[in-house]
Amino acid sequence: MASHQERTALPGAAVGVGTTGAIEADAGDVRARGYWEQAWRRFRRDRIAVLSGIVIILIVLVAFIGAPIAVHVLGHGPNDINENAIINYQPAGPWSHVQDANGNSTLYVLGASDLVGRDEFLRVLYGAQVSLEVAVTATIVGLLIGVIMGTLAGFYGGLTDTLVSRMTEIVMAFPLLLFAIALASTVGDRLNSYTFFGLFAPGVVTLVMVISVFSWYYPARIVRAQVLSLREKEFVEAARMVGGSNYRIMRSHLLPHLVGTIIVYGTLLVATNILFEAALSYLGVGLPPPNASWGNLLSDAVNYYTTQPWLMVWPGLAILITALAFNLLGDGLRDAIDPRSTL
Amino acid sequence: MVRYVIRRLLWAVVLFIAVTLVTYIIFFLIPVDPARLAAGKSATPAEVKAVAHRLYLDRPIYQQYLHFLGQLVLHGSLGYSFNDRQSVNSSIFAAAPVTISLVLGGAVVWMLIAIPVGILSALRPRSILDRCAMVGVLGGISAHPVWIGLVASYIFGYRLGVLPIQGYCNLRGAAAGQICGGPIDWFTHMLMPWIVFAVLYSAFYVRMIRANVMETLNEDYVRTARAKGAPESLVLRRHVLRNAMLPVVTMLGMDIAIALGGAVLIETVFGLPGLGYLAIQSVQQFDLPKIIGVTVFASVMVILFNLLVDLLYAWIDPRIRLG
Amino acid sequence: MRRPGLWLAVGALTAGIVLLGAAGCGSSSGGNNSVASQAPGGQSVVPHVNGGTLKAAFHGDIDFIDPALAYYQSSWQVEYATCVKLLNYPDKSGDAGKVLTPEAASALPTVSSDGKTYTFTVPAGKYKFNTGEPVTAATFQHAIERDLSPKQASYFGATFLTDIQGATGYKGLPAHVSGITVSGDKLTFKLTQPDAGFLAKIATPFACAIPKNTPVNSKGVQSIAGAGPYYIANWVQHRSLLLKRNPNYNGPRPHYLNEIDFTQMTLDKNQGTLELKNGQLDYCPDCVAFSQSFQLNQEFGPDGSSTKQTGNQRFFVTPAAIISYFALNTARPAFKNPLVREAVNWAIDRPAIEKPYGYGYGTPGDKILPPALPGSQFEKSVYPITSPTAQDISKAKALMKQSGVKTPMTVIEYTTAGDPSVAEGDAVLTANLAKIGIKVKQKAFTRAVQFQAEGVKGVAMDIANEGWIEDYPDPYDFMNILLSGDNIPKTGGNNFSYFNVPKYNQQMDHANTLSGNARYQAYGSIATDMMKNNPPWAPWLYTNNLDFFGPNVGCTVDTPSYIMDLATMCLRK
Repeated sequence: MASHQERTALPGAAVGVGTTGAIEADAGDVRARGYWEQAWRRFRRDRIAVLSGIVIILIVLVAFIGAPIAVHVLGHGPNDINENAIINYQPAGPWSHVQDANGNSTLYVLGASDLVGRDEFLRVLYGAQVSLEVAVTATIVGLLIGVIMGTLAGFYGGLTDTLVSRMTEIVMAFPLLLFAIALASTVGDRLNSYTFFGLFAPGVVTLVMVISVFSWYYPARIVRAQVLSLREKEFVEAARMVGGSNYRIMRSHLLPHLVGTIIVYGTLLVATNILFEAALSYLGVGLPPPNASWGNLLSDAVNYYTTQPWLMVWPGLAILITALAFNLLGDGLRDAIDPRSTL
Repeated sequence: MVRYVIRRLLWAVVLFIAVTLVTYIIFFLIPVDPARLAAGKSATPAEVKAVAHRLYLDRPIYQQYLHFLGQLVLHGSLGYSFNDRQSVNSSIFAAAPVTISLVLGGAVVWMLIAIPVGILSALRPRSILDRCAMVGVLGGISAHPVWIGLVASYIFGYRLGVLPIQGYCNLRGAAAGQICGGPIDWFTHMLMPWIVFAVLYSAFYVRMIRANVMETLNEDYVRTARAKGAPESLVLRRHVLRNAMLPVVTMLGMDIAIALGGAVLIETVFGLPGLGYLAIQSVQQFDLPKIIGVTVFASVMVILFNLLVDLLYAWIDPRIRLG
Repeated sequence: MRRPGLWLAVGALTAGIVLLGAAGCGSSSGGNNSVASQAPGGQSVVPHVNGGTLKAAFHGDIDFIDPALAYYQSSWQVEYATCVKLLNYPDKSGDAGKVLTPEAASALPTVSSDGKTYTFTVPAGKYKFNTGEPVTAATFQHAIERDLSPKQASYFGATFLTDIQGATGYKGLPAHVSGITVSGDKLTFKLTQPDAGFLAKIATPFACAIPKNTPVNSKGVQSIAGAGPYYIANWVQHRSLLLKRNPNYNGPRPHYLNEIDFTQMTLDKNQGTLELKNGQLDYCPDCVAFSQSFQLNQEFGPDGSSTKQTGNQRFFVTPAAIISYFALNTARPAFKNPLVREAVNWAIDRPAIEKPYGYGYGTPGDKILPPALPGSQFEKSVYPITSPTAQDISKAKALMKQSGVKTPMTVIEYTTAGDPSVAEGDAVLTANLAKIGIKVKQKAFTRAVQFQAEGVKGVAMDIANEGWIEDYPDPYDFMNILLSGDNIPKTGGNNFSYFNVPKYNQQMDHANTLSGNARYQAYGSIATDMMKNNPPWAPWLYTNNLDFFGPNVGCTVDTPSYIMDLATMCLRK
């Protein structure tokens, strides 16, 4: 019964597109398309969105598989220091061949990243791992908090709504840097020891916490607006008449309609969080050394502003491309899932 | 309406206390002794104790907080900085014009870009203009403001030398001993920060305005108006824009409020001694009065702007019931 | 950003760099590196304009212009041009600049036989403030009493002057401190105990002459008259500072310029260097970005390409009394054994650790007492200060084996977060120690959190990445304060190696009672003994000051006490 309702009651204003009745596929040539199938077809037709999806997959592959391969091929790691890559107190320029510790010549594709001679190219690759981990995980956590808060606020209204709005204001006014330093210097250690079997670099968990605490209110606000409009729809009234509890209604009836919103907003939030991590590094509370993240590569590069300005370009470009891909994907998903939405 | 305002103001007080109290608590969670910092590395324990007493740091936290509240409510004073000993009020009043210059000027720039671009793209969806606008928009949101700022200051400031690399000049004019001041210097120093600041925000707003206008254009009453033969410009002005702009106003208010709390990144990149810069500095120096001062200012801005926007919203759209 | 620089950013006091009688210009330092072999900072007087305005700026800032509160190196540099003191350091570089000479006083003071009474003769009106008010003995009495007034809350001033009788328990102006008396033009100080460093302390800017009507103000006065060659004409906090020539100054110090304009504070280093290069700016004491120092030296250093053409050296590197070291925690099992600590000193590559900080950042070294400090000449270097050779590494390995510790051994290093140079230096240290079987794990903290955490007795830390800036030029300030076992409080300590060897404690206490050369010799030999047989630290560097001038500046003199002397500067004709 519930699934029947979900099929017929379409989210938001996508009336007239997709199934209007529960004409299940019995047999025959005409087969009604499910909602998600419709969405997928629309998505597939949007070339830019598909392209960005592919780019993201490529970035992930390069970061997690390509990076170790590059290390193997080049013969040195991203955190390996090498005095020979420092020439006249400057990091070596792009495409430099330097001697490594064993006396062999090795290639630094983008040159050295700093004054201990680490490889910029490899650090950008490994930095992709960190930046993606931080951004995606923070997004997931932020969405979790935001969806719950937004749903509660929109559904119950009144005092709950007010409380959530005020909490939003508190977070907006709160000094971010103070919180980051407080977190890092108190429980930072313990947090950073959760490395998920070595997948996360130390410091990722702290960053995730800081970012999610300060970004949950964006999805919360959107979800709240959605829930407010959904709340008045007939199917909710119907569910209530049948005796559904509030929790049941929220979970089984409202949430499914929010899935589209969540997916769209999730991708957009990932893009924002990539930038957020870079900002935190610039302010000095980013990933602890020696691991690279795009954020700390960018802020380190500032020191070589006048002498090796290229060092600023690589991480900035990486951030741009990745964030752009996520943004385009999010746009594409939104157009596919709900072409009339105005999120 | 009056009851609504009063209720909001009461909430504002609650909010204010919540934010400042939490800030106090979090500050004291950090394992740093501000008295030791102020007294210096070579201070004897007795000297540190004397400094702690002078700075009120040897009292229990709740007492320090009440003292701060008392100073604020009774004397309007945010206390004195642990480091440079000046009144926090004066530091904030010196830094505020810089941030206000940046944010308001930047807001003007971004709205000047976002409104026409957003509306035009909405009116001609999927056209070349629309597509270019969207690409530009996405580039703006995806590039890091720090990065854009650095690249811009490098190219225009360092390499070409047409604009200053960084720094701020008083609008009113240079004080004795300063080299730059006056409206022209102020403008050239703010130009790059404005543009970089605006890039990020105009991207969001173009998107939002475009979506809102598109949605409004599909509404029935617009179709009705057109069917009745009203000229397009009238339709736009009276029906579409008013409704499309409403949520924009909300967002604008909130974004300005947040930004006034300190456009930290832009200020740091361009060396503008504004509130964001002050916030960073005060945290790095563990200067509690300044940290609280900046937080107070930020909360007041957020509360004020949220209230104004809500009132404005209610006034424009009578369907929204307050309270 | 360097660690001392970060310290500057953290707190008022922690931002103080006090150079008193610090070493000169490379003459007494190791000399193993081309930086140190540069000519002493300073140029001879060149054809110059009499007058003119020097356009200057600070990358940092000054903290106060109130002599009772000012503690930054930058503030003291400014005060050196605006202040008149009883005794002062001459406008000379090198060792000549370390000798205290009378200024407002007519001669060095007479000291009683028990060493507790100092009497100065201050001829009234020898110096005058820019307002016309004459400087008298009472002027200094007032200045010092103001420093000691509790309401003035002059922490550092009070610390330096607590030896004066009546200072502790002094209620504040307008009452008098019992140990300071004025009779005619005689100014007498009575101390509670003999203090070999008293003259150096009375020569700090805390004892600058200030006008009689300067009020006690714990916030610091916003304007003050000066009796030196220049006075502060205008100060907009955090924005600008204007010095003007004092029309009433008749003393011997040169003062060619009419005005010195610090037109900007917190100026971006890149912008500053750019403006200095093309002459828009004449001087900025701290604008040299570490990534630029090598190029600047190539072009404007003593053998620079531009220097050879114009004969005008514009880039100077001068040692300061600031040490960077790794404290090895003797209270924990890892570094309990002195042999392990010796091994560390053999294995670390000091020049490589320095490289990430930029060319000319400092001079690598292994002594406890920086070359700029008196007493350092009596300490002997024990370990390599160039990159360790294969023999050095095998010696280190042998020591590790001899000590009997199990390798590989994991140790925890507390270090500073947010500074890429520090992180890179740590990376080098980690690589160095990995060679001898020690695995280093870093824990980075914000600077203030870092040193506070390190100072907690029993902290789970093996290596502390630390630095120390001298307060006044005496070995006590480095050894007793940092290495005496008597100096280990439960929290807030400075003895990060928790070094507590009774033999050395006694020796250091004894050395403190000596004065003159005997004092320096005693400290020197203690330091040598420590480093040879029971090293508490692995010292690695002494910081330099880097100065870059615009093309029009001349007559610069780099003094040991106050780096570049503002009072001697001139504009070339």
